[in-house]
Amino acid sequence: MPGAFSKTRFDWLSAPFFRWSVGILAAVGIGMLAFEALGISIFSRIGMPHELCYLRDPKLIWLHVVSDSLIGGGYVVISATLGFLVFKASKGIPFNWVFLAFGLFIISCGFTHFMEVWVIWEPVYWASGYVKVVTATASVATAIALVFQVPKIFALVRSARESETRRVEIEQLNQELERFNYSVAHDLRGPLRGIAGFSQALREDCTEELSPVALGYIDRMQTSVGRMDALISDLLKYATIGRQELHLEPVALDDVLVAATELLDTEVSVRKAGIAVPRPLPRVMGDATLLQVVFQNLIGNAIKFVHRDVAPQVQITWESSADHVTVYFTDNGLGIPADARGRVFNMFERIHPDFPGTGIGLRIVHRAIERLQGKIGLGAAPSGRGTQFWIKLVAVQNESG
Amino acid sequence: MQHQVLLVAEDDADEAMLLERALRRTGSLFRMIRVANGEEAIAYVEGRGAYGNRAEHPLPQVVLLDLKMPRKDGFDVLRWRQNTPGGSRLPMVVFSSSNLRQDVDRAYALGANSYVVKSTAPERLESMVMALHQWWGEFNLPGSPASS
Repeated sequence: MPGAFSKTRFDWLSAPFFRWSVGILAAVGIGMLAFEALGISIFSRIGMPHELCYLRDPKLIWLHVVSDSLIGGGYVVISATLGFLVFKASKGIPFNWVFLAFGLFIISCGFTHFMEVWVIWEPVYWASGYVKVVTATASVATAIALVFQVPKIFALVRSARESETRRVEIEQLNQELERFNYSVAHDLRGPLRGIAGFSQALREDCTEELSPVALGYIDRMQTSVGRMDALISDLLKYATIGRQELHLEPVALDDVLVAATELLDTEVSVRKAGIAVPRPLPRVMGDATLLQVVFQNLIGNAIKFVHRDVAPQVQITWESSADHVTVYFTDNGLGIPADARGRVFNMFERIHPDFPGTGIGLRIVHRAIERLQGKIGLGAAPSGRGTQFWIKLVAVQNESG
Repeated sequence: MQHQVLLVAEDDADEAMLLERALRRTGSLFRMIRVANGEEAIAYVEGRGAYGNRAEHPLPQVVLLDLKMPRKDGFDVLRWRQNTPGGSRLPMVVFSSSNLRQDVDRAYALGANSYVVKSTAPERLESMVMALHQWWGEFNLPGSPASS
């Protein structure tokens, strides 16, 4: 397995280098302490402070002091930032130990410069020298490690480029698939119109030749055509929702509700349903057509899936936070068993097969909510009887009444 | 009285047959003449080739235009009418199964006089042809013939 091989090879290479540099640094530190213990102070002052070399010229001295301090400070900040990044995103950054080694290298560089400042006034050349040893170790370790990482970095860049290409390909394939879905659903309609039309012609033009049994078959044919037509309509709606371009803009949910309930007029009057809504509803960032589809389906379901001798009661409530508006649709219907709640948004899923439906409605709603950058979920109604759906939509920002 | 002609550009023979039946059943006075694609529709209106004899192929009162057709489609016919002087005097009603926003908008942008979506329900077809006859055959006053 080449993949496994290269993985072990890199792990073997990478981790020990980091450990080595840490080990060497520790050795240097212990060495320093040992020197101290032996009475050879690394802070012993030998020779003259550097200011004498700079001829005690304040301008020259300050030039060096300010520059070295700034370089040292900059190095410390850079390494601290690197350390923070690795600490915060240790999972997200590949080869984070390289970052750490790099940080160590930079911070020791910084200290080298601080020592340069110190030795202007105090001739602590031993201490300064040891700091240089630490810097040298960290530099060499990082440099070697980095050279060995080059193939891996190239591989990473390559795979990033590849995954971008693949993402674009998948997006194109998805669009193609949606176009295909649309045209298939659309083209199924033509033959269906033929079946519907000619079976009607048969019934109307040949009544005398047809036995009651034959007429019964025609009835069944026409019912099937109706079901197929509903299915195609829903599939087309689903495909259209994925296709159309969207620009989220402020939409008044009051208008959406009015438009949706108008389309449900027949259902409401046939079932003698009641819809209770606290007006006014807020405005949200969305698309009027998609929101109407969502409201129409959720309210339509709340009316449809109710015991035949119970008058449907739909309660719409809402709450808002700074970023979101959540709308609740509560019904007194048949309810959805807890173990079926995960499936309701699947294509062709029908929880109550005794009731007419295509099993696409909630799939459409799910898709619409996805495109509106919202969320949807459901649970039992607070009363314990019926279902409560909620949708979480994007609030209109900076809306002050 | 001579029957008014309804020119139907429709590539699907079944759909054309059902349309003719609906006209007959609703007692429409339209005489339906069918062409199978956009190219034939243009040739008919221009009176070219097989359609040279105006007594046999009189100018239609209105054209019922399918969008998806071979050779020249409905959009091509609308574009042809736009580029023909006096062409706008001949009303064209799009009769398509597409209710896609972009198709509807494109048809109107090319000057369609009306846009009707085909329905699967047979009774809708009958009420459509009744309305079609009433509006374009009785109420609507057409302009002078586009070409002669």
